[in-house]
Amino acid sequence: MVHLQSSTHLTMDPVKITIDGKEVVTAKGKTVIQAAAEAGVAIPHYCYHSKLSIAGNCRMCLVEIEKMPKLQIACNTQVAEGMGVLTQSPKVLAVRKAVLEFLLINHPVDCPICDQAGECQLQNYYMEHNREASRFEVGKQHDRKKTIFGPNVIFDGERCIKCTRCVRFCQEITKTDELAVINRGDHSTIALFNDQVLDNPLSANVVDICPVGALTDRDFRFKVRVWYLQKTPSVCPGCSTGCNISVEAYQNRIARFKPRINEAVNSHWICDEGRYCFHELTGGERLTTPMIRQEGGLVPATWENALQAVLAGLRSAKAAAGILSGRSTNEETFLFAKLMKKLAPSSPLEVCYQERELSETQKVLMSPDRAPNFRGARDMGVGSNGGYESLLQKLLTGDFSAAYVVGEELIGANGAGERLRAALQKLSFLVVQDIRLSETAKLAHVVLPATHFGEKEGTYTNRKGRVQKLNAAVIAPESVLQDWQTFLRLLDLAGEKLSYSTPSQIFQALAGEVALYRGISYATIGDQGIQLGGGGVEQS
Amino acid sequence: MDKRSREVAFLAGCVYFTQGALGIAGVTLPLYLRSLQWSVGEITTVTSLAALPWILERGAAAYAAMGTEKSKGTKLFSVSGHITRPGVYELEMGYPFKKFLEEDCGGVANGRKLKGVIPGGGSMPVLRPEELEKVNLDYESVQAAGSMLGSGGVIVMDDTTCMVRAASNIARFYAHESCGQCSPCREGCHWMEKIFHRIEHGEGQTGDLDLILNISGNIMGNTICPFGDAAAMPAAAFIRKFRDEFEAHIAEKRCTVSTQ
Repeated sequence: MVHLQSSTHLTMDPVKITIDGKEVVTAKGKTVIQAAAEAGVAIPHYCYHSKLSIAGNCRMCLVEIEKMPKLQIACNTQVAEGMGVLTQSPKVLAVRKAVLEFLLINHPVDCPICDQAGECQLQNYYMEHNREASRFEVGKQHDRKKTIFGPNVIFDGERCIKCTRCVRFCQEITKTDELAVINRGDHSTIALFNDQVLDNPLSANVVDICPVGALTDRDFRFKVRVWYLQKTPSVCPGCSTGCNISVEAYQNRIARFKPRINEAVNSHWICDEGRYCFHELTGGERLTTPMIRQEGGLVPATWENALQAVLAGLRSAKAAAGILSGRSTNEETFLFAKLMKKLAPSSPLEVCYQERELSETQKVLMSPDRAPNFRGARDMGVGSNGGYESLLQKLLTGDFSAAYVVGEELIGANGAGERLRAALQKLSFLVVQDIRLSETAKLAHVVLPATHFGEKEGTYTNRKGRVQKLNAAVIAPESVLQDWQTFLRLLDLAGEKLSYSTPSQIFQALAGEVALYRGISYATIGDQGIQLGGGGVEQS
Repeated sequence: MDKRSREVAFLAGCVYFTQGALGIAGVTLPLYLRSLQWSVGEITTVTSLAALPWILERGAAAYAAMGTEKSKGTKLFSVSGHITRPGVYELEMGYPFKKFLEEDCGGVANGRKLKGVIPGGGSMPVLRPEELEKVNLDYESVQAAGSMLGSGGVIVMDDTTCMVRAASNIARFYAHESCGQCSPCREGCHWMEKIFHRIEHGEGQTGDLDLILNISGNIMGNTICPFGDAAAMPAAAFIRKFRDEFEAHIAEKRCTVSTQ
């Protein structure tokens, strides 16, 4: 007997059914496809999506239900006590073959040039349920190909199987109604409604939910075959919502983000800004060696010399400030706080945090900041409410003589850009740790190379207090240290030797020191994260 | 025209005239009507509504006294095609089909021979003349003969009719009217149309007939609404009842029916 994974449902009206002869306990109100999925029985489908309304038009999920004369679609048949469902009977296998054949007769054989190849549900189900040669010898229906729908989405009408997932997404999730089905019969096609553009803040999610290559990502178009991608589960560094993502890389470069399902955070979606943020956050010419300012400018230096210079500069500073990027992990922040306390105690430490207005559609998913770990940083002792703005003010009024800036471009990051440039130039000691020689870094006395989010292993705590794990998707250049390694070395040179050799060990240490994080480990965080103060229960 | 609604022209006709709603077949139709707070009891055609005044005046028992045990009352039959007296006839259910055609409707026009008759609208399986002997105009009798009474649209075809062309014509109608929501009907109807067209124009291949029968079987019962069945049934029926003619048409690459 198989029970549902989530125990809460058993407290609702339980219903006993059998699926392929196996008894399953499910709940009243569930559909056959849901009960089957929860019991580990996969029923093939196209138009069904757990987050969208039922369309029932693909007919792929037809199953045999005992005592019912016709086959029924599993996505729209409610479970009833004693119902007997057959998902592998000869009738069902025959109809799956038939439906696939119908979907394939007008489908263009674009596989060699279609981005969806390798993750295409037509390909997958064909291999699983059909595998017959084509019997279609009359002309295929033609439609518009490579039609731009919006800044991120491109449409191919011939590949479309009219499942209407995209139409329902725009109607129900973003409520922007850009897409509609027009024309009739086998001239049916998806079109932009009322001359709109598919440019809502979550537009590229239609690419994820399109089972075939009808809607594809313009940014990813023709970049790399998906079976070459190395996929790493991680967390989006765009904002403090902390959408769960899969970072997919090829030849050590990030090719795209895909959302990961996490009902407690982002459901099945990510926003367009987050989806493409890796370009800005990892691009540009990479800094691979430390630099020290000498007569005439910045020159390459050894780590030893650079770190000694940092030590000297911060120790002798009269008033120092520490500015951390919101993309620094909990582990890095924990060590940074320790370091600054040792070198320049009583210096204010802040996370770069700025808010902006969000539209209603953006609010479906996004947070108004660009600091994915501002909350985690606060828990580690870096940052306080409104603190960043006042620190910037103090910087402008010359209250500080030194600053340590990690991972953030201050000049050009906000309206006070040029004034900040002047203020930073007046500092007697500025150390900047970043992935590239930013405008801020060009003013520094010591520049240290850093890693970006895609190279980090660590944790972020999102706006709602959920601790989630980042995993390194790409490898940093050889001469670049992880930020936590840099801080550890500085602490060592300053006389505090900590024997951590992995982020996991650092997390173990911070879990011991920060009350809120007690009892949590990388194992308990897993792929879905863990809510602070809420024990180990997943929220739904 | 609201682009967002599916143009279900044919299907919509039935619903439109009774409820004034746009026809949207499938799972959403009852919900759509409920959302407009119209009661979803029966979605009836005009012919059914036409019987109401008589029933309200004389009572249900009087109406039920007519007809057969399973098909009560009367039905309107629209007779068209190669018939001497086409028109709309109201008959008591159970009336013998052959008698109706030969006597009341005056028999096949121009003294020609009957080749086939569709008892209830283009979607119902065609009947050969010899099958009419035992058929009465009621639901159970026609069903026993392997067809259905449907809308009562009787279409008479004489021996000058090319059955390939007739089947092709009907297939084209259903392909054109398919709303396009579900895969079997959307793709299957047009596929059948294209194969029929190919046969009719002398490019048929052996295997085409069995292919159409197979496609028809794959559509039947697997669609959102009965439109798929309505398209699948005539395609299969024409081939089954007039297979020789189809095969001759394929072999000789032209129509073999004499038009004398």
